[in-house]
Amino acid sequence: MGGLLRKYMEKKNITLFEQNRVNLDSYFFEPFQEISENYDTSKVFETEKIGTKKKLSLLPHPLTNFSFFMDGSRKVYKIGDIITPENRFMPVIAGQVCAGCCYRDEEGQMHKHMLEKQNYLMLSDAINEEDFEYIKHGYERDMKERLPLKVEKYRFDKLKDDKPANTAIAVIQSFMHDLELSILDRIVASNVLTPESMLILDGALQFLPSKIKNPDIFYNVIGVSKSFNPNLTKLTKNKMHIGTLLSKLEFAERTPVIKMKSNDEKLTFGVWYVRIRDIYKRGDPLDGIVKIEKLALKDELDNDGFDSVLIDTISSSLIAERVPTCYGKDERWANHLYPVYLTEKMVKSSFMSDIYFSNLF
Amino acid sequence: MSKTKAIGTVSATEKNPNTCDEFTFWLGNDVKISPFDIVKVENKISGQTSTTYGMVEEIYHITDSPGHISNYVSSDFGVIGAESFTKKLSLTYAKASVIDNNNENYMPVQDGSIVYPADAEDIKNALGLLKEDDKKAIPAGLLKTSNGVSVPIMFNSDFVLGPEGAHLNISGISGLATKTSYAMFILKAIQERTDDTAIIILNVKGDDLLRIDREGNLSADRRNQWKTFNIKCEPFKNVRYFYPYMRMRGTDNVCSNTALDPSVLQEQFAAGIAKNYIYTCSEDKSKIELLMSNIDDPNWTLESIFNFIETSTEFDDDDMNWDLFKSKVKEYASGKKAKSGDDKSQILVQSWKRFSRLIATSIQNDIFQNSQSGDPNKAQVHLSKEVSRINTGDVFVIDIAKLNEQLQCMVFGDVIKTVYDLKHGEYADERDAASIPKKIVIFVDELNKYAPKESPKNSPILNYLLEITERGRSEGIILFSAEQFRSAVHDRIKGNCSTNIYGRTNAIEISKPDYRYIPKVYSNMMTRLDKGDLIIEHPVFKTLLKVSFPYPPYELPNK
Repeated sequence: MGGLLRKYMEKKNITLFEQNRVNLDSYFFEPFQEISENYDTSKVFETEKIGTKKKLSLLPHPLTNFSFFMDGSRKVYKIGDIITPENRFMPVIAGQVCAGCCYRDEEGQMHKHMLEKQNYLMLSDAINEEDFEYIKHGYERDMKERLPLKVEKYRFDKLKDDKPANTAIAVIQSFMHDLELSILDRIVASNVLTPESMLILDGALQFLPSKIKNPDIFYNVIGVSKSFNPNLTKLTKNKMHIGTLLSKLEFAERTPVIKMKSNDEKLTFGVWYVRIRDIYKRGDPLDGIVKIEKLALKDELDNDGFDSVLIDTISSSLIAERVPTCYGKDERWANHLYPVYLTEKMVKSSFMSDIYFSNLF
Repeated sequence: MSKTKAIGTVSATEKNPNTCDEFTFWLGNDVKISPFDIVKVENKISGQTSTTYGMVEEIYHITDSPGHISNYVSSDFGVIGAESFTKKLSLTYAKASVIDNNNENYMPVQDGSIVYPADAEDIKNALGLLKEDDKKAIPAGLLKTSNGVSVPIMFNSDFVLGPEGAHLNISGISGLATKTSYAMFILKAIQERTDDTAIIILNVKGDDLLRIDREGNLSADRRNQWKTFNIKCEPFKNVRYFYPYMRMRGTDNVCSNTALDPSVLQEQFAAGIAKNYIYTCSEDKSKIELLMSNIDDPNWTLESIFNFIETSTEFDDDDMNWDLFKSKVKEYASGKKAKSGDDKSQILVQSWKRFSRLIATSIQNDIFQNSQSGDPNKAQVHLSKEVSRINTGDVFVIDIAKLNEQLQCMVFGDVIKTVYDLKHGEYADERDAASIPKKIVIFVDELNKYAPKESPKNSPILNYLLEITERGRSEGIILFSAEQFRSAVHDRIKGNCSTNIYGRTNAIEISKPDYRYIPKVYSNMMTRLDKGDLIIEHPVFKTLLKVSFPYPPYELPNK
C-alpha cells in the first residue's frame, strides 16, 4: 500500500521510510483544554450575588434541559518518516477524525442525529510548496476509491513545539473541532435547539474562539469538561488553587459564574463548576465535579452577567443526568455524563480498525 | 425477502464469530421472537445469492454495564427506582442454529446481513416438509411462530412406520405432557392416512382410551383444528376392546375388570365390540415366564424351571388346569419329588420354592381360568388368539389398567409375542399371510415398566421389545411408546426410536445424559412447556420443533 505514497515522494526526491504503523493515541497527551487564563474574579458574572457556592434543588422527573449531545474524536497513526531534499527528517502522520451528535427522545432513547468523518494524511511543511501540491493532488486523486482523504501539512516550530508528531496531531485535533462546529452550524440552522432542548458539547468551548464566526449558534449550547486544571489560581480572589475550593463543594452545589475572556479578548465566557455526584468522600475530592462553560452573548454582555435562574436550571439539569453512569466502562465515569458517553461510543465505533486504516497507506 | 419486515441484523465479532452451524443477530427495538422461531438471511457468496434458514435457540439481553455493581452505581448508589433521563445502552440479540440453505451454501452468513422472519412457505422449505395431501405425510402437529405464522408439520411415514425408520417414543410428566393424547392424534392420522396398518393400544390407566370409538363433544374451534391437517375430526373406526375377565360381583352384570362406566361397557358388549380375555393353563402355560419378566434371576434358576416346564412330559398335559399346575409345582417345592428320586429337573428345591411362592401370588387373579366358559355373557376369549386375527384398519384396545404390574407385564408380553409370532409365520396354519396387516402399530404407556434401564438381562419382554425395535422396522411391527422419564428406559430401545417426542418434564430429568445433545435452551424449555405443547425430533427435520396438536376427537372420561 505504501508504494503509492513512495512513488509520489520519489518523484520529488523525497525519501519515505515506512515502518510498522504505530497508533499514537496514547503517545500524545492532550493538555487541559484551558488555554485562557484571562479570568475576571472581581465580581460574579451572574445576576445573583452568591458567595463561594450555592445549593441547588433537585429536579423532579422528567425535567431536563438537554436533548442533544455532541462529541468529536480522532485516531492518529505514524505511517513513516521522510527525508526532504534539504535533509529534514519529519514524520508522516495519518488520522481519522469523526464528530457526531446524538438526540435523546422523550423515552430516554438515544438516536444518531449526525455523524461526520474525515481522514487526513499530514506532511511536514518542510516539503517544497509546489512539491506538496503535486503530492497532495495526485495522492488524493489516486486514493479516492480506496479511502477518501485530505492531504494537509503541519508546521513544526521547534521553539514552540515539543515534537513534530505532536504538531501534526494538534492540527488533526483542530480539524476535529472544525467538524464539530460544522455540525453545530447545521443543527442550529435546523432550529431544533431551544432553551428546553439544549446541546451539551463534550469538552471546553474556550479553545474554539478563533474558529467561531457566528457566536449566536452557541445560544443553546454549553461545554461540559470532565477534567480541568485544579491548580488554576486566577479563578479565586485569594489565589487559592481552584481544586482547594472545589474540594469543599458538596453534592448539588455550584460555584458562582466567573467571567473569562478568550485569549484574543473577542469572546466572553461564563465558567462555573457543579458537583453532580455525591462520591467525593470515597476517593478523589474532585470526582463528581464538572466544569461548565457558556458563551456570553449580547444579553449577558449588556447585563454584565448571566441570569442566575438559567445557570441554576442548567446546573440542576446536569445533576439530574447523574443517573445512569458508565461506571466500570470508563475511568472518568464520576465526571462523565452518560448520554455524552454514549455519543462518544457512537463516534468511536464509527472508526475503521487500527490495523485496517493504518495499512491503507 | 424484502416483503416481510426485517427483525434484525447479523452480527459477527472476533470473540463470537458466525459459523456454518450458527449465527448471531441483534434485534431491532420492540421486536418479539421466541426460541424455535425460524428466520431467514440472504447469504451472498461469489456473486451467488441464496437463503440460509436458522432456528432461534437462545435470546440474550445485555446492557453496556460490565457488572451488577455498575448497575447499582448507576442507580444513584442503590436508590431503588432511581429515575434516569437516558435509557441504558441495551441490546437484545439472538443465536440461531443453521437448519438449511436453499442452494447448499453453508458458508457462514455475513456480518450486517438483514434477518427476516420466515413465512409458512419458508418454513416448509427449510424443514423439507411434505405437503399436507402427500400420501406419506402423517401430521405431527402445528408449529406456531412469534410472527403469527402457523404451519402444519408432517412426519414422513417412511420414517415413522418404516422402512426408512420406525418407532416413536414420547416422554414427559403425567398430566402436563399430554403424551397419550398426542399418541392418539398420530394413531388417528395413521388410521385415516394408511391402508395397510392395524393398531393395538394398551390402556394402562383409568378409562382414558376405552371410548375411542365414541364421538367427542368438541367445540367448533376444536373441530376446525383438525382441518388444518386434512384429517377428519371423527372417532376411531373398527375398534374392539379387550378387558381382563373378572367374576361377576354385585348386580350390574359386569364380568370385566375395568374402570369403564358399566353402562358404556354394556353398550360395547351389546354391540359385540368388547370381549373379556382369560388365560388357561392348557393354552397359556408358556406365558408364565412373562409374569416374572422384571424379577431378577441372576443364577438363571427361574429360566431353568421355565425350560423344564416347557419340555417336561410331566407338565405337557393338554388337560392340565392352573390348580393342577400349582400342585405339581408344590410337589417340587416341598422336596417330595427330590426325596422320592422322581425329580428329573436337577433344580434345587430352594429354587422351586421361590418359583412356587411367586406363582402362588400371581396366579390368583380371575383372568387365570381353568377352562374357557361358553357363557356369552362372560364373553371369554384368549387374547393371543384374538390378536392373531387382527386385520388391516382394526384398532384393538387392551385394557390392563386394573391389573397388577406383574400381570400387566404378562399381558403386554403376550401381545407383543403374538404380534411377533404372527409376523413370523407362526399362525400360517390359521390365516393367509396376505391377510395379515403389513404394519402393526403397538402403543403402550409406561414403557419403563417393560423395558427399564436396569432391566434383568434375561427378561423375556425386554428381549421381545429389543427384537421389535431393532428389527421391527423392516418386519412391520412398530412400537409407539410413552413414559414419564426417558432416562428410565433401556438405552437400546430409545436408540432405535427414530422419532422422539418430548413433553413437559422436570429439571432433574433434563440433567440426565439423555438430554446432553439437546441445546440447553431447548432442554430448559422442556421444564416450562405448556400443556399440549411438545418438542419433536424426527430424522427428516433438521432441528427440534415445538408443536401443538388438536384436541382428541373421541369421548373423554369426565374427570
